[in-house]
Amino acid sequence: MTTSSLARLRTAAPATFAVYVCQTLLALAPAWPLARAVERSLATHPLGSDALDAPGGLWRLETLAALSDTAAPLADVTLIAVLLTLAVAPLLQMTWLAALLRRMPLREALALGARRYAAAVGVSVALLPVLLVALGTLALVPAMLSRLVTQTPSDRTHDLVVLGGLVPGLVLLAFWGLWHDLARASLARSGRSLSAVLRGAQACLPPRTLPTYLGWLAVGAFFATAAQLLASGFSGRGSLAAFATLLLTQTLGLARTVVRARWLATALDRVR
Amino acid sequence: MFVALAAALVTPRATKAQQASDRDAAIVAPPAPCPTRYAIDAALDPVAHTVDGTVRLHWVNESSAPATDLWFHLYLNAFASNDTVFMRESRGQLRGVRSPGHGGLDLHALRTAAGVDLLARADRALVRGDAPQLRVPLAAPVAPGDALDLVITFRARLPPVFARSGFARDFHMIAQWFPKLARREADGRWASFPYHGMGEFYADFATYDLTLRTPRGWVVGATGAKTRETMRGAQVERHFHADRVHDAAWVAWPHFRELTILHEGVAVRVLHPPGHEAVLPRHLHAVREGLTRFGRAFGPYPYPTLTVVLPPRGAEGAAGMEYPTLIVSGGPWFDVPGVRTPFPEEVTAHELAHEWFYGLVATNEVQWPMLDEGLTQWATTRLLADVFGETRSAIALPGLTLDAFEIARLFALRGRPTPAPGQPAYAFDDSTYGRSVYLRTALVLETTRRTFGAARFDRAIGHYARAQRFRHPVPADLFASFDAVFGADFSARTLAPALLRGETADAHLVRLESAPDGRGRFRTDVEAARTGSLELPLSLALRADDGRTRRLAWPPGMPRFRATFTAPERYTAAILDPDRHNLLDADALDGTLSNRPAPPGAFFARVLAALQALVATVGA
Repeated sequence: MTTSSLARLRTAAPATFAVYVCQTLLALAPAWPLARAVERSLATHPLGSDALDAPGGLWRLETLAALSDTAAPLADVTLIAVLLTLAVAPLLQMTWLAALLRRMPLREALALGARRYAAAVGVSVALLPVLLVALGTLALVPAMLSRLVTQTPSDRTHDLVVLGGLVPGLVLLAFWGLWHDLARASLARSGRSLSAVLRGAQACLPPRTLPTYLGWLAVGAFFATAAQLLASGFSGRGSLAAFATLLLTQTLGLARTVVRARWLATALDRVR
Repeated sequence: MFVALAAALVTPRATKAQQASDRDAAIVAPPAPCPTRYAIDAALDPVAHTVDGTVRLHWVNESSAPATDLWFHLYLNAFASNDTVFMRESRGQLRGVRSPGHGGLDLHALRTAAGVDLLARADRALVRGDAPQLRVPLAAPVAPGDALDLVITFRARLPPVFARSGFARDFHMIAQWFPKLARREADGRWASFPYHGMGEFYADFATYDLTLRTPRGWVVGATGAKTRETMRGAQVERHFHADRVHDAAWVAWPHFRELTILHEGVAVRVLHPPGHEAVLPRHLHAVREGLTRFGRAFGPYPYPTLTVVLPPRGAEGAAGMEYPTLIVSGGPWFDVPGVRTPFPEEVTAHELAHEWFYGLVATNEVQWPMLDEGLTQWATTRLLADVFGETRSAIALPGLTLDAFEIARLFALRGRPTPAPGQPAYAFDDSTYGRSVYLRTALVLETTRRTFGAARFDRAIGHYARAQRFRHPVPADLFASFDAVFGADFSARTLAPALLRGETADAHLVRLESAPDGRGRFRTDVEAARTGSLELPLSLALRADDGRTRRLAWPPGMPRFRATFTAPERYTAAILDPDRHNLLDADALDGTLSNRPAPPGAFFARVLAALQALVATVGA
């Protein structure tokens, strides 16, 4: 961990918090109506939505059946939220990177982010073939291996070989994610042309940076998983328990955002 | 005095129990040889995927009427073309596995022991475009009690396996592979039918002697106990013998690994693909629990062997099938400690339960599939609930448990209406058969058990299973066993409407009011109504603000229930059927009422956290 990265992290604390708030608002769009629909279906139950945790899953199953009637509007809201997230993502990331680059008011970072929005989308478009190759590898290599090892009488051997076939695709996917982040960091740092930032980012690609990237990715995934596991395992009932669960999951969510900021700060240090 | 009183109370019951036990012991005596006998000599050609064989059939007319003809089932012909009854009804698939090719059963000769050819006069085309049945007119009638000896030579052409029988590469599941007599009912009618898309098989009990030849190095499992194994050049000849079974099947594959255990006198042989070692303890757990608990409930497993086959990948079409003393299970090769999923225990337990409700209690599965699949499904789910706990019977993951009976209720009673489970198999299609015949029957039986008492229910179904062992009962026999325990007309009021007419016991809460009565107490008024026509006794639980609860009984015969009472406490919540006795109610949510707003739950926090993580992954 370099001092420079830590300094960037401190400088960009308001922007990091703003990103967390934006992500929360985007998540709220489908989460709120879904939670309301669940609460409505369990409105007559004395335990409310806490009945979902009853052993045996009776009320979970009942709610699922009741929700199937309201699935269409929920699907619409979710689709809109996904499209909005995809549209806003470049703006958020460029604003975040600007704030991480040097101390500046949030409004200025936002303006800088907005100015580089088109270039950030350009980075995504330029790297789309890499993403498609990664996804294709992820789908095709296991399928091809499955056909090659079809003669083995052992299902275990077959499955382990097929699972092994996922590795190249996952490596390529990580490679794409890293290149994407580094290119946008380079864009935030230099403001150069698309081809220049892609080349600049390429110069920092594995093996030097990949372990760092994967490390921070794993830490972020750990926080996200921990939030889900802790929330699911929380056995308390009532308003206080609900508030405690919300506080716990949001604290871990904020921690996950900080971890992401920490990686982006590192990326800014790595690119030219 | 207490001892004397206890003795006075207990002794008559103990004596009764002893008498019942003696009766049961007589009913479940070890199988005696059947007068009818199949001696089958067969050889597998694993390259051509064919079985060439000879059946020497000694048939005894056990009915009360002379036989002027014989009806054979040549069920492999169901796969002869896309126009057969089976292929049309199943639309060429079973459980999502599609038919990739054809097969059939060719008869080369059918003669009496004296050499009289019967094949030339046989009637093959009983159903247009389909030849899974063969009617053979006899030169002279066979009187009741008389015997007839036949010699039949045949070739079974196995199809690529998608519906129980067939091959997948070098794996061979050889079932419905030889010409087999249809069941001749006591009155002399042949209970013959084509191989249907839904429903399975029905035949008479017989003694089977199998002589099976395969290349050296192949592992073979078959119905019955292996009596000897002889090397004959490049071939191995194995002999299997089974008494009092109504079918014989075998499996052959060179790559099988094998594990044998002895449980309660039964040699359990597991044939599995290499790599499945980790999951074998789960299969064996289900087998051990099944042999013990089913044996206790329905009478002991009477055969010396049980073969459990786990087919390899690509042969899924053979999985989930029962034959006498041989079951084909399925499921993954891996086991995740601490995680319970429906596979593999449910499949293994289900196929094992069939050894009673199919194998021993040999009902006509096409006419009354609920007596076969329905009773089996109930027995399986009950076993899982007893072994793993009611709430963990389907799935147990960290943070999530699911009750198998509640899942069955959701699938059986919601969505598109299904015919009643007591309908013949051909009344269903593949989207309604499982929901009605399997699940709904299981729900009716479990609701009966929970509502009217587990001990009496177990006695009734135990009596049915024991009394009908090695017989071919019909629903009236099941109902008679229940009436014997629960009283006359019990089945007519409860089981028959639910099973034969598909009646449900839907009920819901209408209102709950609790208000001060002006004298420092609260006047509570609660009302519920039935919408289902099956009137079961139900109960309501009321909960007061101070946590006190009160139970109210809602007897049958009352379409609406209303109770008004005054009490010092205010009742603000009610739940209908709080003990979950009634599984014939499609909607449990309308059986809850609360006059207090529910406290906010943790659900919102969980959903939000999950979606935030998703947004962060997709977004910045």
